[in-house]
Amino acid sequence: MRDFFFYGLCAVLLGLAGVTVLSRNLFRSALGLLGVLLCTAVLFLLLQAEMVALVQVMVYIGGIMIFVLYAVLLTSELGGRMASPSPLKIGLAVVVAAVALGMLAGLAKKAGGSADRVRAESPAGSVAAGANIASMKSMGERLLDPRGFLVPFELISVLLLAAMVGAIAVAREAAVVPGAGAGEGGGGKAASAPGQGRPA
Amino acid sequence: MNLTSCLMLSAALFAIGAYGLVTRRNMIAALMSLELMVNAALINFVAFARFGGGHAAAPDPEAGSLFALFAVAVTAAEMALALAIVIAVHRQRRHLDIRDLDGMHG
Amino acid sequence: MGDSTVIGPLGENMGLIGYGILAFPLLSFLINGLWLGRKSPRASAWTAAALMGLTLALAVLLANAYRGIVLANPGAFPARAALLWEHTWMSFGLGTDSVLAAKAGFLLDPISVMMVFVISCISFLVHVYSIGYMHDDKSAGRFFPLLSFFTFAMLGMVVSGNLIQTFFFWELVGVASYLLIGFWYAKPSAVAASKKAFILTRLADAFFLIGMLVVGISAGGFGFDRLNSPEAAAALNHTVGAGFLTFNLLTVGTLGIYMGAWGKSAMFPFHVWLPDAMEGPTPVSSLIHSATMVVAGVFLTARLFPLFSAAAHTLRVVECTGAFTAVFAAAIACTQTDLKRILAFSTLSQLGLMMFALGTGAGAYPASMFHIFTHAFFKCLLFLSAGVVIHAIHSNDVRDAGGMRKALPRTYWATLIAVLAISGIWPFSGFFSKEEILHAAFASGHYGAFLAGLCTSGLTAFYMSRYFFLVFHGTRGFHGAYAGSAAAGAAGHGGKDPDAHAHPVREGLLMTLPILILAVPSALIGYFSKGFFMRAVLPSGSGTAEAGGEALAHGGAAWLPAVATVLALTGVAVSWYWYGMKKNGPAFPNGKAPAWYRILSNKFYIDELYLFLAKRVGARLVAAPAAWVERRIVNGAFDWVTGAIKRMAFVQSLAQSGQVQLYIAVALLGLYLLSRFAGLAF
Repeated sequence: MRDFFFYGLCAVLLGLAGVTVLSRNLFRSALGLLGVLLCTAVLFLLLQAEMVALVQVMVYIGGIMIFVLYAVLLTSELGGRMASPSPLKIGLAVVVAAVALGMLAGLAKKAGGSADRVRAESPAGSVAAGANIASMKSMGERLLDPRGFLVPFELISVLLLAAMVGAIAVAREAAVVPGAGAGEGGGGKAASAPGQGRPA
Repeated sequence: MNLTSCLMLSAALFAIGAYGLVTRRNMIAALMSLELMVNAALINFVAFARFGGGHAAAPDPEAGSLFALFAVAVTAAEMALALAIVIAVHRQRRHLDIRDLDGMHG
Repeated sequence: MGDSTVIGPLGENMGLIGYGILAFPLLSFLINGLWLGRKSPRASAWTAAALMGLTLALAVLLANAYRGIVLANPGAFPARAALLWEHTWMSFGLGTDSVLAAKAGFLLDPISVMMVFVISCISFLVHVYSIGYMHDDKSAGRFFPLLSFFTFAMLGMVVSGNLIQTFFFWELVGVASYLLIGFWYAKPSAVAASKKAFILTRLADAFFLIGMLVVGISAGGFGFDRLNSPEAAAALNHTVGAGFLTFNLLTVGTLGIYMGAWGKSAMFPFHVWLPDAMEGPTPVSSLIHSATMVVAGVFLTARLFPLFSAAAHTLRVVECTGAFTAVFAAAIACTQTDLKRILAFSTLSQLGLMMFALGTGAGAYPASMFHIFTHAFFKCLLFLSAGVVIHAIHSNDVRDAGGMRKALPRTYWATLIAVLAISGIWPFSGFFSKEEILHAAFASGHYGAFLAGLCTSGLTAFYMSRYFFLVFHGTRGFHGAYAGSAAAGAAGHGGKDPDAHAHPVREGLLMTLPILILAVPSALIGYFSKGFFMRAVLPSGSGTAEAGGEALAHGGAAWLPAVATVLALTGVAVSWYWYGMKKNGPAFPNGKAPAWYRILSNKFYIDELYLFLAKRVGARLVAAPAAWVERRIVNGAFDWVTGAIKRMAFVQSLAQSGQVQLYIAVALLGLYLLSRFAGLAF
């Protein structure tokens, strides 16, 4: 039953991923990605990683995806269709995808096979009974333990702050140039900002 | 449901993402493809945390999950910057065609 | 910089003296060249002169110490030579004694000490003289550093203890002379002359380099002690074959080295650069002709004399070139009308004397060195006085001069002494050295060279007194009175200052003082230093000391000084008859000079011959095909290669399209390949 659910979930996930990369409509493509992320969150629940699943929903779907949707809405019309890529590019992409798939599948077989064999051979109960399941409590303790993950945890906050400042610096209009005259507003009407970005 | 099947799923997702990253012309679409690939990596992290690598005898499930959390945070930072660049490019050029952004050509 | 050797009882102070002798001229060059020359030409002139004065003082100290320590201890220094210090600069091989070791040292032996003294003395006086001479020249700030540099290069050359250092400084001398001859670079003739001097001597130096390598590598070292040993000559003296050509290494090597000396000393047919080098300022000419540049060739030949004397053919070549140049240049000097050119040809002729003296064998070696010594003083005097005259009349032409005796009395008397000295009149210095050369040539049985020497001394007396009478006697300015040398006069005319006007002629103290000082050695030094040269200045090496002693015992030729003097007096008398009394040279029928006179005044048309060879033969037969090969084949090949590289780069640049997606694809494929190599993927 659980396997059945897993494989169904996999099928939906890959289908939605296909929609994401193939759809000509950017908005539909974004919705596809949203679906993929949701399916992944469900998969994480299946893998008994509730914390990651929660974060996936909150940060990815609630934060990043909303951001992406905003960007889509800001920069393109909803009904617009993107031009299809050239056959040459499709050929190249197929080769790349096939090679990546082959490489990763090979690795998966190698790494996963041995691990699965170890699990299958070990006596039932020794590993099964929740030994491999991270509870939210233990994760929190590890995260705030100076000998655990406290330092990377704090560093991540610095990284996020820097990214935030950088994003604001990159995206804001050329108000730093005195007399440039560009006011606050969406990207759509500020095309005349001369000091923005690299000169072509 | 075992480690191999999870890794296979992630490999397929990665390949689809790679396909999209190479073919998509729109910058946002390419970024979304990139997200698919990151997602594949996340699945790997969690799967290894759940099933253990070759060392099932000494599992550390918290470490794997926390790794995934950090990866999410880094992705958030990356996306924030990437979308800021998208906005800036769109403001300057009025379109988001990747092929046009060839300032690095030799 | 590695080992410093202070040999034997030569103390630390001696080493310091050696460093100082080289350092002061270099210091003068650096200070004046980099800083002071631009700021204040006057200050730079005085600084340079002061530093040269210090060098002279050190040279005197060095000579004194050398005499007291080395010459007084024949037991400790059998070869009368000592190495003051030596540093290994670069060593290609194992240890500092390997064959290919470039060393810098300070060698003390009779000729190097003599040359150090002469160079620093002459250079100091020329520096002082130049303060006056360059007083009105705007570029004087550039002049003094170069003059000091010239001195430094020559000093470095004469004190060197090995061929590599010699070659190094030899080239520096060449560069310095190039810069100084072309000092007035706005004048096209000066630029042409400097290029001529540099290119001709460079051509000869190429042979020098080849000869040096042949000799040094076969003899197993570049140090003079090794090269001048009999073992080196024995090691070299074998025949190598290349196809049907066979060479004796000794002959080829020494001839190559002699070619360098040949060019530097401007022996025929390399002589053409020296008269043109008169385009430089007169102090430079004075330095070039008396102590530095041209003497370097004779010095090098003398330095390697033991090696040369093992190579009979080379010695024969030395003798022939020297003898021929002596007569040839003296004959040309008889008809020239340019003040400095007369002196230049006289230098050539005197250098020929020194050179053929070396060629006649070990007996004439001291005489040759003796002649360098005496010649330096009177030739320097002659040039400096010519500079005074040129300054006074603003022309280089003897026919614009005349009657200078009244205007320039001090210069007149000093020049008289020098003319008597160079003509070989007793008891002036030239008499002794020239007589020694003739003696040695006669005693060793080289009668051809001996006759050439006699001939030269007669001609020398003639043209020098002609010069003297034309410049200082008679009345001023009878330009164009005789037709024979009008063409040559026009070529050499147009001296220093085109807007020559009759302003009062005067003798500045700074310019006359060096001349008067030089008059003393010109007159006396021959008499006083003859004993030293005959006794101490002998070629290094064991067997040759007795040979030198033999030459001293020339009792059989007591008539020689008399003959030489008679010849010289005859020359003076003829010259007095033509130029002193009648004042306008030999009278030619119907006012036209005969062919022999025109040939002489045009210097045997050697320059024209070279031009013909270079322009017609060289340009048509050699340069044109070479240019074709250069353009079509060499350049074509390079163009093809560069074109191919360009095309390949273009193909490569296609990959650098700036298309990020392509980069991603390639990166992923690369990752795949990496994992393949790591054995992780299919």
